Amino acid sequence: MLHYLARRIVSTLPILLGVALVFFLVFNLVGGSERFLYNILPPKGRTPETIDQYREAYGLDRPVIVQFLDTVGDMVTFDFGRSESTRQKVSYLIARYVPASAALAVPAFVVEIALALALAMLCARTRGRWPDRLVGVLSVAGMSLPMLALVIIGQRFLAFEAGLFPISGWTRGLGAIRYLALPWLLWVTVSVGYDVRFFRTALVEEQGKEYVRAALAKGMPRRLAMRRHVLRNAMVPILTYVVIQVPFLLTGSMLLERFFSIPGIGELLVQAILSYDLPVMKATVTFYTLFFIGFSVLTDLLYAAVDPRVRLG
Amino acid sequence: MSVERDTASAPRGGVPKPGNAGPGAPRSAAPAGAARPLPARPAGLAAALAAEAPVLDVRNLAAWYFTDEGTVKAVDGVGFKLGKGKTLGLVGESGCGKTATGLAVLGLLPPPGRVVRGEAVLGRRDLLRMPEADLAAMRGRDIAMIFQEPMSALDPLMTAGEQIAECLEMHTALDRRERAEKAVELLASVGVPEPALRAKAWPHELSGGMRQRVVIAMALACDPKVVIADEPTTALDVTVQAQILDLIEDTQERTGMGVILVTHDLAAVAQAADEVAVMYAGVLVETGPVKDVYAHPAHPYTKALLGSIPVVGQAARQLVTIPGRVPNLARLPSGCRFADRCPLAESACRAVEPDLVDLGAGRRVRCILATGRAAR
Repeated sequence: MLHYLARRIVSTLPILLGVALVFFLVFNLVGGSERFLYNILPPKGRTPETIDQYREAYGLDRPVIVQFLDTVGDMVTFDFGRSESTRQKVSYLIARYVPASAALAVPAFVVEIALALALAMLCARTRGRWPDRLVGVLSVAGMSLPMLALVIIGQRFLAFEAGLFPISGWTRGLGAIRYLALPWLLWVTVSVGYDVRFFRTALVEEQGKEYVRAALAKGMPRRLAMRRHVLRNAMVPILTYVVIQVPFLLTGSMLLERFFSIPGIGELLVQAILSYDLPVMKATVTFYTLFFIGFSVLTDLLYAAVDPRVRLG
Repeated sequence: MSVERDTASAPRGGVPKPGNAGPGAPRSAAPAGAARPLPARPAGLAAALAAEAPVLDVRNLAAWYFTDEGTVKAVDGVGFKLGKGKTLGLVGESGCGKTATGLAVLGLLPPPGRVVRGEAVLGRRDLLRMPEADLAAMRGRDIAMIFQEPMSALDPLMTAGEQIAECLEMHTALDRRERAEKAVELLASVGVPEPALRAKAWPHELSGGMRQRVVIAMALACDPKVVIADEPTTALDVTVQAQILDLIEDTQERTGMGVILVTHDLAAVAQAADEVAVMYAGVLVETGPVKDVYAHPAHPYTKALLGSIPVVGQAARQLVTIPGRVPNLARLPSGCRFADRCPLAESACRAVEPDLVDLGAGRRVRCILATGRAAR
């Protein structure tokens, strides 16, 4: 187990290296350090002399390989320096923006998964009959609505005209719930359909298994067999699916954060890209990468916890 | 081949059960003389068979699958009686409705399958017309099933012992620890070495033969009166096959349970069964005592099945097969269902579907050629 963890942590290094390489290629070489210099210099100060001066100051005149290793070093040590636009320490910015993202994503995700599981179980139990069909139609409808359209509809009709929610905004502390309610609702509406479909498939597949029939043949009532054999076995694919989604919660909420002015990490990344703030971009990308790797390790651990056939090592 | 075994009904061990088979449903007396008797057998035995009430009496069972492509009549009017302590071999090719028959009796047909008519009387109650909760209470306790694939019949996330104990949990008042102990005993009784250790094993840690023993222990946990064994040996090595059949036989002698052995393995039926019912395209085409049917098969299909068994030492240039396939059960031909593959088929065979005619001596056959031209 510990051995496994150690190996997984070591194996993240090549992944980080790959991410650093892609990042470096896209933003330092192709996107160009010239663009960066252009961005950080005020329009009046853009003379060949000042550009050269800045190029030297930022080390962009050094050999490409040295610059690349520098990027890798930043990512491995989590030292990204200061933001080019606000001059704040990048680590401070990340710490400041994460809570709002979590406040948006975690409750919405938990509610959505619980709701999806309940609906999927209803579908599996009434397979082919009307509750199953109704949920199926609603799921597809929810999946078909683009988030962008829902945001506009929600803000226009529910917030602006009906006055049920504030249109957008943010405050610290529990007051934020007021601002989060509508984004939560939209989040659940858009994503619950996909999850119901997936969970239903997993459950229906398990329902058809011979050991479920064997349990019924032992005299087990269908409800109990559903809980004890179907649900438990379906948890293996469901857990993977859920846990692997967690890193995407951050990217997924970028749109909502932007439209509802929620100061989250997605918003931070969007702003950083718009202002070509390289240190912040680097930091957010690293953050996403580590988050992703961390959760895939967690998936493996959960696998091993649920399924006796899985051995880590 | 085995001979008729001692079928004296041994006292059943285990917990007494409510709703135990009383005198049973009245057994319809074998119609005499209607058909020409084939090679006669000792009348005494037939009388003895008729004397004891069947533990399971299936009548005119039909189970159809209502699919988008049409109605698949997987089981289309099947009837048989299973005596106490007896084994009935239900044989036929794949896809002829053997397994569906077993599942229909247990009320476990997967959708879109449904029982459309018939009765399955066990202990004076019709399993097919029973609220689901009542049927669930009988499953495992009065009628159990041994599944074909020992790997897929075991839940991979549960230990062998836990899965055996589940049956006890449903039907007895034993607490968790007592159930675990009983599960170990059951494992020992089905010949699992180091049962205490195996009870804690996960299914994937057991060999195929071992898993099948666990599946059997699961079915036998509550001393059922009837066990439907669906191809219990198909997935196993030949050496293990014989052990498993012996095990079922031994248990039967001990507890007096009736066994329906669903299989396409005619040798297994010869070894283990008293009676045989040959199924073809959803109907029974021939039934009777194993020895008689094997010695003098009356139906061309039975003959063909028996003829397709390779015999050791007989240098066959080619294995004998039955030409053609089981007809599409959604679009059955008119007349005899076997006519298209039958070497003896006449035009009359395709005109009307023959009835299952009693030949006397406990034998019945569905073939106008075998029952004689007079019957036409």
